[in-house]
Amino acid sequence: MSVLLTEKLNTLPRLSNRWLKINHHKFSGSILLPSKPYGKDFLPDLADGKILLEKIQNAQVATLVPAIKYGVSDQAVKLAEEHSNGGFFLEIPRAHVQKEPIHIKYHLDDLDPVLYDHNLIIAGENSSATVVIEFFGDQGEFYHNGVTKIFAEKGAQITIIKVQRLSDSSVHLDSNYTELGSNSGVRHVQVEFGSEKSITNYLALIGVQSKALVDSMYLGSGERTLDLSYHMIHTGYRSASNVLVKGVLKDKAKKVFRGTLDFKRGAHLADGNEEEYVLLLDPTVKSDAVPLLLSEEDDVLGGHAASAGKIDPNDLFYLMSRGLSIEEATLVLIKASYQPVLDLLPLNLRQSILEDLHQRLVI
Amino acid sequence: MTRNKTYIADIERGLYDQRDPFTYAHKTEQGLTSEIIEEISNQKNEPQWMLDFRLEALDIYHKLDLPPWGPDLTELDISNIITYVKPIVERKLTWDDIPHDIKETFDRLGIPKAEHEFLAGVGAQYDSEVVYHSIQESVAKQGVVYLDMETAVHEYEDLIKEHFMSLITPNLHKFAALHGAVWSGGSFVYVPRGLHLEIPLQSYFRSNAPGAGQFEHTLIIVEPDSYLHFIEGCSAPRYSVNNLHAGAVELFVREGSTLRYSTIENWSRNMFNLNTKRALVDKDAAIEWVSGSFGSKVSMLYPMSILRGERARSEFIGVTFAGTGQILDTGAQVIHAAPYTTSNINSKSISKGGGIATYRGLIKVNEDAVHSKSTVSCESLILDNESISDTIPVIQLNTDEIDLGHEAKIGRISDEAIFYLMSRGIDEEEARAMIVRGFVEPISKELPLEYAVEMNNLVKLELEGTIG
Repeated sequence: MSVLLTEKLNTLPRLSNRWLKINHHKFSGSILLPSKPYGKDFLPDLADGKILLEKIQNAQVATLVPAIKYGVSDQAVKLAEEHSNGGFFLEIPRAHVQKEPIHIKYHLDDLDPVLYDHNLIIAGENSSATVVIEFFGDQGEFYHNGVTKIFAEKGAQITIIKVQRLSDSSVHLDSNYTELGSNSGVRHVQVEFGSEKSITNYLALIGVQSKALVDSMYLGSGERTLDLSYHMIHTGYRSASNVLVKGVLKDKAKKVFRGTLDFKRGAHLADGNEEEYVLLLDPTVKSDAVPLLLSEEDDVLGGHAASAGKIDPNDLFYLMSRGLSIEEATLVLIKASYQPVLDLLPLNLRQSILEDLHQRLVI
Repeated sequence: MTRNKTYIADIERGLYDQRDPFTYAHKTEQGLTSEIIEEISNQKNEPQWMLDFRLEALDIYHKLDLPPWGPDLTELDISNIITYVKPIVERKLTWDDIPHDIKETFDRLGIPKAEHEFLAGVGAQYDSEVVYHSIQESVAKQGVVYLDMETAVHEYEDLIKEHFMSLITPNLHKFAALHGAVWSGGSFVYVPRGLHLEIPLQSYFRSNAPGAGQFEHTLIIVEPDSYLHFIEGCSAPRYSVNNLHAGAVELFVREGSTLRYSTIENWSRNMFNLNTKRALVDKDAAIEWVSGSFGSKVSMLYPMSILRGERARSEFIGVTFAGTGQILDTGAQVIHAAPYTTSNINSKSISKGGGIATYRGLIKVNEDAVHSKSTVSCESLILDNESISDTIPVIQLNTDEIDLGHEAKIGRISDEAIFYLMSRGIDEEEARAMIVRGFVEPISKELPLEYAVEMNNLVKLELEGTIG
């Protein structure tokens, strides 16, 4: 069974001229609904038993509800919640420090071609953890529509790493909501390497003296489309945010980056920063960026920067003068551009992503 | 933690808010029908093609909807706008023939003085008709044409027919269509090939009648290898009825020439300023926009540069100051449509007293615009926490051979800077004022002539005179 996506996706918080066709992502077509629960075991065994990690149950969902609307679209969020066939509930107890990353793997294949996951993470006061959520699957047409909600209580320090490497004919819709309690910190690391259509939305409510970080890398190749939206809402005083997005586009890839720093009244002494750098490898790519900066508060510092261009020929020349072929030199420079995000990944994941990168960059 | 705020009072608007007794020779009924359009056209004794154009635009106007983005325009009731008000004067050639009350208005604004001292020509628009228009003889001898649009339609019919509303078509948006239907007044400038006009041309639009719309059309053609600086200034007295300004500016900058277009807009704070400006820039030519937006209740103004020739260039320098009750939604749009084109945007905005300043920009690089360069810098300063500042830039790149940098900053007056100035013996209020003045200085220094006087009135009074 499939459902038609009727709503506009990733709508900008402030609209602009219609003829630019940038106000939202127009998704033509429908997506499959799950026909059965996700069959594989996707949760790791956590030996010490202090952390609660299990398949999500309806009762848990009702306990914490996002304060504002979020996600790719209302419809996508509702579908993911109502038709959820996977997903987990993770509760990290107060003051618990989880050293090893909690690794969750969603593997799509012929048996599980459709995943609607509903994930809920509650990080207790002063707890600390890293959660890796992977979506992968090659050869096949897969549909993923998920929501992930994170509630970080006072002083919690959480890192979420989302890696998406679905087949190039898949659809990937991912809605993320993060609520940061006072003095907490949440880092959202995102790797977008797969899917024909990858539409992701991240929203953070940044409370008093808390810090929200986004580190994202994407690779657009073939005729794939990426539409990445980040909305950082500063609600508390001395709240901080930093969004860093590193991208590479080749072939006929299309990308839209939507980044919004939103300072609400009362967020005085807040500090927000947002940067997007994209390397363009072919003349046929399309790269759009809408970095919004909204402020209702005088005593804030906000900045955004965006840059786009080819690989610097001087850099290439230097590396080639040292004996590298043009392909090798290009790869070195692309890796260098990704490095700040790659550094945040666990070692085994980093290596596997680098291998993927080599394969995808057959230049 | 509380911080002390410097209170910056509203500008003394006495000079601009003076209103003259409302007299008119001819006035259309309120609302918009094809009869009104025919009446306007009749009054102007226009050729048939222009009337047809107007009626077609009216059709389009009725079909289009209001933009769903940007400031709320529902308060604007178009059926209440008297589209055409004609003051009781014939077009005069010398200043002395102008009726006293109208003259006084312009005197207060310093226009004749400007002409005597510096300017090549003055086109002053009082309500919808140009009442005073002259051009220094020396400039006219060089072949420069500087006329009001009505006269130009007759004297340069072919040129007008070819260019009129070809850049800003009535289909563009509802207010472009409205403009096409009811346009009235404005300037036509033609600079012949190879002429470098040292002294700027200036046009001052002034709207006086309550509830009257201003729909002036400015059409400038700069032939190859020429230079022109055109200055446009606007103000209107304050009335309780909402006013509408929906002008259109079409600029054709031919190969190798440069056009600088400076604007100071200081409409009264009941004005809906929905102006459209576009420049078509050919090979090796340049358009330079210098823009100051101070007045109006709602402004939506996004000058667009279409760089269609190789190595064409666009510069934009703008300052926006939104005070109490104002929504100033401004910005620059650039379309790179040819190789090796460059654009530079430098926008500064200040909001205070609940004002909303929005930068809304566009950089679009087409597939074939390889080796283009674009630099955008937007800075905003919020002076209190009732005010709002938004930056909405759109960047669309359709090729890889480009060099694009975009930067935006939002900030406050830094305590360190205040401390430094105070350690040098400057009191806190003056220190804050200095910093704000320094913030807009890159723009104010680009504004020449008597506009410096107006800029003084607008910026200094607003920033400096009343601080503390």
